[in-house]
Amino acid sequence: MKILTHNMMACTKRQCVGRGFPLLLEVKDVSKLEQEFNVEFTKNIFPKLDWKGITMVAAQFNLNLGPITEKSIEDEEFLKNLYNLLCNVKVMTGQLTCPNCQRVYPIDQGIPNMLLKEDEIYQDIQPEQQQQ
Amino acid sequence: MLYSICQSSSSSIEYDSSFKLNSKINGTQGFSSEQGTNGVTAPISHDKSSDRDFKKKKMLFKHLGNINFNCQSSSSSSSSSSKINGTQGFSGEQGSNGVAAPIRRRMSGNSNDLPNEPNMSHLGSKDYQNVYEPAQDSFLFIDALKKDVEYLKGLRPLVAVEIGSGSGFVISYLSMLLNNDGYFLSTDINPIAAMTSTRTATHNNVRLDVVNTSFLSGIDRLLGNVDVLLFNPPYVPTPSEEIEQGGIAASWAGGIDGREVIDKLLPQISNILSEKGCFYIVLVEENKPAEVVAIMKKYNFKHKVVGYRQAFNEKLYIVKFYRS
Repeated sequence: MKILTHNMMACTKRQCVGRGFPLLLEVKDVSKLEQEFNVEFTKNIFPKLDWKGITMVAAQFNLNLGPITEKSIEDEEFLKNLYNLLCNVKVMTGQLTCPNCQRVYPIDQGIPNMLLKEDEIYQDIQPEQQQQ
Repeated sequence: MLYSICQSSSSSIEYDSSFKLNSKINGTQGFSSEQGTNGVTAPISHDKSSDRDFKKKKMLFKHLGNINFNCQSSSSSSSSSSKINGTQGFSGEQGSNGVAAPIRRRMSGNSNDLPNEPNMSHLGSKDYQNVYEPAQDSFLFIDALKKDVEYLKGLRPLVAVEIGSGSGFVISYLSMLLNNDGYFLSTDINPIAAMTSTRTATHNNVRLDVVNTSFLSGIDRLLGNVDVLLFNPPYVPTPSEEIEQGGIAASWAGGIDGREVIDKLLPQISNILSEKGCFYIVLVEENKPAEVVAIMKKYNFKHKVVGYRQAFNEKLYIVKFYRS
């Protein structure tokens, strides 16, 4: 799981829609990739990022991106660091935890498992519905 | 050059239909020989090893049924051809783009310096017990993407996603086709398939990220950002219950008309795709492609048939949906 993918992810539970990200990331094993810096790509992906998630993960990897402003998109050094974080860090083993419901999603062999069990999907909503 | 291919295609579709019965008979021969090759290596007790051709076999079974039906109901060739004309409606509508390529398992020469199919030498029959092995549908899919390369490159896609990537054959090919420029992601509900997609990507120097999930659930923030979406669905008509079986069944069991999984995704497409985004899907005749097109039209999508092939007894289509 690349950090870019982490940035796109959220808890799958219905009651967490809009609140289930950024997922807390726990890293056991990480692999470094060596893709060449791509300015265009980084500039294009820039507006789509969730910065709360980026700063959270950057801190975990002791990466100081500096202050993030609208001008950051023109700062090549910033973009380069950002690209390396997004595309060249791959979490191989670890887990993701929803900040809202605390559901844990395992990451194994670089693949996060986001599947819920059938009864989990509405788990925390059902009691209310039953009361009605 | 493309134009000439298109020109000939419309006639070759008719050509197809004129020997539909013949090709069905050929198909049944193909089927028995298929079984032969599979049967030799797979003792009856090994149910799983025969699963790998299920997507194909299921279809063949269905068509065997159709042949009986044809024999009973249509004594005259004219009535059978009118039925064929009926099924032609869909490809006919598309006019020049129902490209009918000859059946071939491997892609032909590398004429335009475009990459050939991904190297799959890292996978063996053991892997294909749990993951759908690239077959005619997969080969037609990458052929269609290859033919549509100018469009795809012109799109300058930032995010490309395949839902249900299985062996990873198609999304790896797309990445190769676009020179690995962009963010390539795939999902699969089958954990072994997700792992296999990763292996295929790595084996072909493709930087693919894979998530074990259903459709795009859990990757919510991708919604509205996907520029190219690929889907080779479980399109084989089966009883609805088979969809829930999981494992390799998820690669072929499509429920009623083979449409149940497809129909769950279609209403989500307009939310998934970016403004310029496009969606490629594999369909077979049994899925009633014209109906799928009508559903997508309600969401303001245009369509184009970018691939057509009759393989064994599957009439396969690759349909592209796009907004403008």
